[in-house]
Amino acid sequence: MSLGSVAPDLAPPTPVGAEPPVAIADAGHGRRSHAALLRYIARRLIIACLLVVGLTLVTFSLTNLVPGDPVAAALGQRAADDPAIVARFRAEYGLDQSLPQQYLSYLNRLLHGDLGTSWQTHHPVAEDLARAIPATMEIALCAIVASALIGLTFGVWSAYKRGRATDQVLRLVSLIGISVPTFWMAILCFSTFYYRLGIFPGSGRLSPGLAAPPHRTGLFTLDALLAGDFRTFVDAASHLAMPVMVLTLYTVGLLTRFSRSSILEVLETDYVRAAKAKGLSGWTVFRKYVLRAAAIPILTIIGLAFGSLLSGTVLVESIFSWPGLGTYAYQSASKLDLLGVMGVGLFVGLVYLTINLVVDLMYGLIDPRVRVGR
Amino acid sequence: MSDTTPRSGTTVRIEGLTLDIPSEDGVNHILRGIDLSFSAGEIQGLAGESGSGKTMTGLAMIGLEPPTARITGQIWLDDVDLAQLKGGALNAIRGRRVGTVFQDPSTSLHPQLTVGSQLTDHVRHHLKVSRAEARERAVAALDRVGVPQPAAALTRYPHEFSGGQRQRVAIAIALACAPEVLIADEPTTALDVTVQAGVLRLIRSLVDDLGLAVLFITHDLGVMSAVADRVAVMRQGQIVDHGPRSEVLTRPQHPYTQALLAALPGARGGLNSRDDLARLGSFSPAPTTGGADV
Amino acid sequence: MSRPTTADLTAPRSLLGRPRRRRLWRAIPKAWRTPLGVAAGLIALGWLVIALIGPAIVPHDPLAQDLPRFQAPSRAAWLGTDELGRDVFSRVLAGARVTILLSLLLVLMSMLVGSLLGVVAGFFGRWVDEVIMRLTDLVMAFPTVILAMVTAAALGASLFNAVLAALVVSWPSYARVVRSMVLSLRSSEFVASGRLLGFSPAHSMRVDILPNVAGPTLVMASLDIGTAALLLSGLSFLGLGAKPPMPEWGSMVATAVQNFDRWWLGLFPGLAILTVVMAFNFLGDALRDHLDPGAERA
Repeated sequence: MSLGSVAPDLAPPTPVGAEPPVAIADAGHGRRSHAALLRYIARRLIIACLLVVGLTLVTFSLTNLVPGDPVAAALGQRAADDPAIVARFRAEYGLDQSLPQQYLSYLNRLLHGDLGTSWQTHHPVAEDLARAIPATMEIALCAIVASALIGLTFGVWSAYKRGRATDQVLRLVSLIGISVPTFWMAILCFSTFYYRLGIFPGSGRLSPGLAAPPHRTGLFTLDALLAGDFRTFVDAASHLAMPVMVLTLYTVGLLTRFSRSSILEVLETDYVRAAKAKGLSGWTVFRKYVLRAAAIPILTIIGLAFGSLLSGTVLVESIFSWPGLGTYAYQSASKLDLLGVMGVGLFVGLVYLTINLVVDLMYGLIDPRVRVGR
Repeated sequence: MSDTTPRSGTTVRIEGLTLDIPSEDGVNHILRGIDLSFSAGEIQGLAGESGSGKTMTGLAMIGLEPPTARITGQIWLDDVDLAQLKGGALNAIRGRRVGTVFQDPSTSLHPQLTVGSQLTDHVRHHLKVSRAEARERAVAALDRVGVPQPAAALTRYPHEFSGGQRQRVAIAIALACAPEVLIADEPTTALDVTVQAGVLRLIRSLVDDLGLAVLFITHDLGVMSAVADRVAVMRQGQIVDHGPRSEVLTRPQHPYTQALLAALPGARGGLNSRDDLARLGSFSPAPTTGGADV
Repeated sequence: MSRPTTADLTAPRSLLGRPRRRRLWRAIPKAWRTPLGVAAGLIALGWLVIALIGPAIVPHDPLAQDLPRFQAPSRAAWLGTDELGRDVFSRVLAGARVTILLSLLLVLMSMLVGSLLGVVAGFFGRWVDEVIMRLTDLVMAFPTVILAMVTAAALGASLFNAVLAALVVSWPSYARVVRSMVLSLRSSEFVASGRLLGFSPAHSMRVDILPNVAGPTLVMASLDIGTAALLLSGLSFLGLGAKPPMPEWGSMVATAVQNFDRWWLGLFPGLAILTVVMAFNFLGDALRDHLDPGAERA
């Protein structure tokens, strides 16, 4: 899966629009620091709001200003040749208004939770999304937890064994991780573990015949546990295994590489050398000095990786017939179902922005140069 | 701080220390047979330009040389050869019997940990004392090095201190476990000149009061003349000149030392007169006890 | 203990520094000189050659449907045949041209577009800078694959549109890096002294700033080739890139979705993508480490 510049390699990953925390450090003394922190938070919130507006503008304009003809796509060429049908269609979907008008009414509807009706499924997009989101969230959450655990461990291990055989092997593994085409890996896994070996079930979220557990979170594994239905839990978990495995591979590669370089950078700092000179054990130095300093960049990249996982599902879900956002986005896009695509883009974009905001705010919490002086 | 009085007569003897770092095209000989010894109550200066190996000598003493480095020779701390120690045994010496102060306090203190946390973790580790007792020692150490309001300072972060105060905090950290030996690696280089004198005065008084044996590493012969009892001059991994401060700095034997002295700003061809030396050493706090007769 | 001699003073510095032998060899990044590096170099070079002369060396016409369908790999068809009786081996070779050359083209275009906007933003500052940077914020706030997919879907499915869509998502990182480099260079002393010598802003830009921006940007671009190949083949896999008869690795893998028992359909084009991306990623990594030792001292 190509995630473009998840980590622009020449620059440390800065969350969207973030300023280095040092910027307010100078003001961060004594009582003034409280106000400084509040200003920081307010600024981040305002930026986030502006970006949300920008996001809707992008989804809207991208799908409206570009040459693809949605009418033809939705109605088929023969109906599109009949002016009466086209006019009715355009009126029904508000396509006869001017673009700014269309945008404003789009925004207005958004605020009321109305994302329009999909031309492809004839359901409200919001309803379609509500069904698809938990399915994708279940994969993405499992994948991010797994890859954070594995990637961090590998990265730290690799950094501490720098230059030795372990390091070389782990670097090769992570290189493979970020170089494998996700969609290809998905097919390989599918044909190997399902088709040939039959270890994991191949499609859907549950085996046919099993009913979905009572809806609480929408995550089948969690819902099954909450309902005390162990059999459904095992079944749901085994359906999860392959998509999660495939998605994890890339993120593990990414996180291994990134945490390795973050840790290496910290290991070379004076304060780590000073901590060693104090006679602290290697574990204490790592836990207290190294990890703390590397935490912020690593958390940032984990946040970004989560966003990329959500979009990466597009390439994976359809192979496993997973009824999530990826499958929905793909089906909408291939039919030029603008509202469906916009809905998915908007949702994933919102998640992305939220993560960025959370990471930004975490800078304030973790780094005392931003934090309120207790 | 009566309990911080070290065992008397601690001596550090470095014998035939070599340090090689293999590189792509052969071996870099960083240290090529260093012999040096110094004892409690004296400040051994180690001078030289960057790349001469003076910092590496200090790092090698506490086993912080780069992992690829190969060491031969002995580093005796009384009857323990530090060059042979590894892992836990080395950690038991570091911070406990040998304290270290690094060049730049703005980078050698962890920016995200409070001063108190950095000042007590090794105390609790080494001395196996309670949190409260470690805190008491920390306050005493901060007080000793002249950090104002030491109790309040514990909860503050390094960036809230000025450069000179930060270096005092770093010194307090090095002293908190009452070590016998202090390695001070360019401790004043990153500081303002006005602050330097205070820190030098502090180190001098620590030696006099606590009987520390100090290895004072600097490239600055002015600072050296202000604080060191004995001076060794390093060049290309070897000690080229060595002796009491007065001898090395006023009657340098080695042409390199002569050249170094001549290069001092305002030295006009050498620091050969007592007046020049006195001028350089004018911010020396008190008559030294180490036997130098300037 | 010291035996001062003047010879000490004149001892050659090279005893400490590295001798300057084998200068050319040394200019090659260290990681390229390892077995892994040589392998990566050979693979990248091999694929580049295939991309350039591919059509001349294919054993079969990659479009000809004249072989039995769904043949497993054999001596006649090394990598088997597909659902229309085409030779998979020939199609993989022919596909190199599409994926590699288009990836290079994409990287080149995003580098040019991004750098241009970055230079403009860094150089003019003020509202120009603000507008361009907020635009990068916006694009980067969007998950890459989704945005590329939306764009490709909206533009219509074709290879050219897939490149355009990928361009939309890939320029901002260049713009940001180049902008920040221009900003820091602008305030650097040697640029200031150039201006004091009377260089015009344009001259200073051409002589002092652009040459210094070029190197890091090229390194960044080299790291991006693999990513570009993944993105483009991913779009084709989704049916938003290459159109059917064209031999393209992503869409070849897509045919395997319907034919899980014919493992050779997807395996080989996927392996082709993997090796290309890995080789370029490795070479790019090593180049970065070599030129920017701060990033990774080996």
